[in-house]
Amino acid sequence: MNKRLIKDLQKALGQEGVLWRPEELLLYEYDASVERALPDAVVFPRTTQDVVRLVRLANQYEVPIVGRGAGTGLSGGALAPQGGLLVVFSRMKRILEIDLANLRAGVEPGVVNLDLTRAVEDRGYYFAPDPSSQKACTLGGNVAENAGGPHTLAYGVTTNHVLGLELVLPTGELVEVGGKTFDTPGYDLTGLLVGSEGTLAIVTKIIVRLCRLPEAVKTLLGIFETVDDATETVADLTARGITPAACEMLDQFCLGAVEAATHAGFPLDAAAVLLIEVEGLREAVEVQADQVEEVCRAHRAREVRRARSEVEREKLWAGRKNAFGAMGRLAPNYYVQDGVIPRTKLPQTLRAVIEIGARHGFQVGNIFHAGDGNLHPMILFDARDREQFARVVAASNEMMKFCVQMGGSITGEHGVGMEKQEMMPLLFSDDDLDAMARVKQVFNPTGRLNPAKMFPLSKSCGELRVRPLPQRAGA
Amino acid sequence: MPAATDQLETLRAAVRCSVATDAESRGRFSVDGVTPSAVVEPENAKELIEIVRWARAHRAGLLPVTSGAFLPIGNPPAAADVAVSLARMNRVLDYDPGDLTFSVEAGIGIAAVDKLLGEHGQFLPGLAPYFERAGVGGLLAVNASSPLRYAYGTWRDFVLGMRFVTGEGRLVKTGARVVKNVAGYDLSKLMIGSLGTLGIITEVNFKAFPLPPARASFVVGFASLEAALEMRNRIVHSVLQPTVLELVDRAAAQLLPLNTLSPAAWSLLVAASGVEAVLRRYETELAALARETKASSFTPFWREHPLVPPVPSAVEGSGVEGSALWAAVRELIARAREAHPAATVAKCTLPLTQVGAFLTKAAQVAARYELPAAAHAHAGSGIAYIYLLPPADGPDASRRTCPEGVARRMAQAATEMIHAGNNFGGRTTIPWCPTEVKRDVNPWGPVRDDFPLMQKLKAQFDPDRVLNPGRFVGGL
Ligand SMILES: Cc1cc2nc3c(=O)[nH]c(=O)nc-3n(C[C@H](O)[C@H](O)[C@H](O)COP(=O)(O)OP(=O)(O)OC[C@H]3O[C@@H](n4cnc5c(N)ncnc54)[C@H](O)[C@@H]3O)c2cc1C
Repeated sequence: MNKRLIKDLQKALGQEGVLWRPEELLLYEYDASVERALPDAVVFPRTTQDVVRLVRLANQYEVPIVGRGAGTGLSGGALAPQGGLLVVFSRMKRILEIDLANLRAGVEPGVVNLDLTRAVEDRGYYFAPDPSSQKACTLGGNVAENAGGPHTLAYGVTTNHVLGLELVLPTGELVEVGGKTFDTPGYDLTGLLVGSEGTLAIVTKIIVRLCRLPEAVKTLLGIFETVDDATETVADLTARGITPAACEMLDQFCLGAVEAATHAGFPLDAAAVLLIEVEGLREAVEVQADQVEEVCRAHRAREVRRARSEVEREKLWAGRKNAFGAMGRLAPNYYVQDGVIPRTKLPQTLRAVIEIGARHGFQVGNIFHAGDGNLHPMILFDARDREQFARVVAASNEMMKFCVQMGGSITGEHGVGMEKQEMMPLLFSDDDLDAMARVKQVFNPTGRLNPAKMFPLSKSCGELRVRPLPQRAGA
Repeated sequence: MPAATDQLETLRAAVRCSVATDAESRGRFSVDGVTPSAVVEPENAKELIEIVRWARAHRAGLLPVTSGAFLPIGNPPAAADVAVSLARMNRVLDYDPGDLTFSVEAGIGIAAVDKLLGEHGQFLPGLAPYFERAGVGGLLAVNASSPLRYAYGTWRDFVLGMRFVTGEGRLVKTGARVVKNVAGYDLSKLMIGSLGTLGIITEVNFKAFPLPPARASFVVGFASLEAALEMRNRIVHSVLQPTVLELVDRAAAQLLPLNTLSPAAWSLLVAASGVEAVLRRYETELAALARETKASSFTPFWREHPLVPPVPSAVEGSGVEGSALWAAVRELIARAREAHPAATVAKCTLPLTQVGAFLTKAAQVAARYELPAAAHAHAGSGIAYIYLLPPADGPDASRRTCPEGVARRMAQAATEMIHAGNNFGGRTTIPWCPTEVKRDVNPWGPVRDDFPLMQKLKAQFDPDRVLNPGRFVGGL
């Protein structure tokens, strides 16, 4: 990389704010996806003004610039496929304002998701979107990916909780969109920016809504002898209008790994379990828990357990939230998919997913946000075997096609990134993609910010790009 | 366009749908003194595209409408040559009750949607004014607010995807029909509340919600605004999760055709839903809060709730009440404008803690300009509405046009409210006012730093400015 640029970066951020030696960059070649790409330099701004300086330098030297939170993204969003600067927000992690009276907080993008809730929970509040990675992932990353989580079933995903943003545009201009209040006049640029995968602007401040913690919570574990019974329970809960706060499914394959890692008390011999939580006023929670249990039993649940203590509850959730990590026990690598389907199509889609995996010679684990119809099939494989990885890609591609055929989508929360660009035409026509390209043209006309993401690179529809072989997949 | 007849001939030649030019059809979509030269009613997106392409070619301005109920919102049109009515694009395309999702054409009436969902024990939380008339497309275009927003959010929170025709005549799809999806930019967000200036919405996919098993409302009267807001604060920061939290003052209550509302200076209207045991709990706790905050009255209404379906005819006359209270509150704007066609309505979006200060200031401003005023707020969401009414003793109280002097006072008062909104950390717009008032006040308030981005988006989606030109923020 250009030595003068490094000098200028160091002048702007100080020596310790810039990494550029090849061995220092290795850590930033990955996120939690199977993609990889090396940046030319990694920079750590402390302030919005630092970010403005970095963007200007990127423009001056005509190098790409990519934002990065914790690097837990599962679609390669935080990688620099064309090199350039990787802007890591680990030094911009101040909670700038907690305004409980107005149920708002203002944060820097590097604040870790769970840290925000930690800062307000003893006063009875929390930030509702709770990705399973919430101990590590940042709010900047959540905004970019429009992250969901187990409890977003009832409370909505990130976009439903973000009201305003401070942005550094790829030109280096500073702009505020939205604000502390609802219904800001003009186009809803905040809504447009959330979920734009860091391709439109760098986010330097986020204004979020805080919610009141519920009075009561009950956690149930429905234990099933067949996967169909579990998925039909989910479809039936939805159809009956019983909306739990969370409704997660773990199949047998995952249960083994999770139980070995966490000893939460998950049954090892069940085909699937549903981890269901109901929240609200005491009186409501009692009734809802009974309703959930009744539906589980109507679909032949072998047992419906209720967590008897907060410790038991936390163990179950720790099992769920650390599940991806636990999968590492089963195979050297895994590849997590992220399809969405209407909940009425859940049973047949899960059958198809398992069948597709088997046909390609893989066992597929399923641990996912069932209540949202958001599947996360997890394909275990050995990345050292090149041919295996090609089959993994083929199998997951087929799974996503099936989701689209069911009227669904290729990603519910992990984003398109570098991973699903070539699948975009499965969902969108040229005109649809052109409309998105025009939005990008408005914000990021040179394409210097987070290049080669989200939009298909090849012209041929639905054809997969050959990917580099992953070294280490998953997190 | 120069509404010359030969131009209309080219329109007739270019599009398949009928082109109405009679005075009555055109008059229905007259806005701020501008009457379109023709009204077209496309039956599908293809026909709509033909119309947009024609407009581009002829530099004509299009006025997209569903019911027309919300047409007065916005700046006077820079051009409104042809009104494009979506009245014929009113089909339900798909409904999967088991998935709680559905898809409709944008011209469908919200009441028809509500009826269909109700048959399956579901609903859409968009109970906006002009409910019996309003079309889905218009409600989305103005991002019409519903009292249910406190619990369910606004349109942006339950639209899953849509199709729209851009100003270049391209049909674009965004989102999908599943409850969670992050593939591509979320263009639905751009379209909602954009007043049809980026595209004409043709189809919308929604998330539906299950109707709660039991519902009730509580009306709490207060002698002072401070006390009413104190009760609101206690509710907002408690574990109670009511579905609705509205505030009306006496003048607003008097606009409603109801005697259920207390004659208190301020009434806090709370609606809750859930099982019976939950409603009992609300009654106990709200009654206690009302006592603590020195309320002058506390009245439960066991059958009132915005989500109470109309009284079934079988029980009519047997003392069972329908949802009269909430139907009335929902229609407050419609009522006020019916009684006072010259009413000017300011909407201010505020931090919760500033609602009181704004309402107080607004009342002072209205008094200073000698304009009777009524106040209403989505109190739990920080949205306040001030209704400036023409002086009651004036000869022109109910006239559609606004006498010069009154219009000037209204414009000045509205301008002050725009400033006040800013000072209290919020933003004021003037969604409803007579044309005369728009001469002296910008209904959208001043633009901000993000305006150049909005202009560029407009240029990308509607480069020739055929869609509702001039009507939106900053003349977009
Ligand atoms: C074990 C595990 C469990 C997970 N569970 C969930 C889950 O339940 N739900 C879910 O939605 N996701 C989940 N994820 C995915 C991931 O955690 C989320 O996408 C998260 O939002 C990414 O945050 P991050 O800080 O790691 O962002 P990164 O991966 O660092 O970056 C993600 C994207 O954000 C952009 N970005 C980051 N900061 C900024 C900024 N300041 N300005 C502009 N762009 C920026 C990057 O350029 C990139 O495109 C999981 C991942 C793992 C590994």
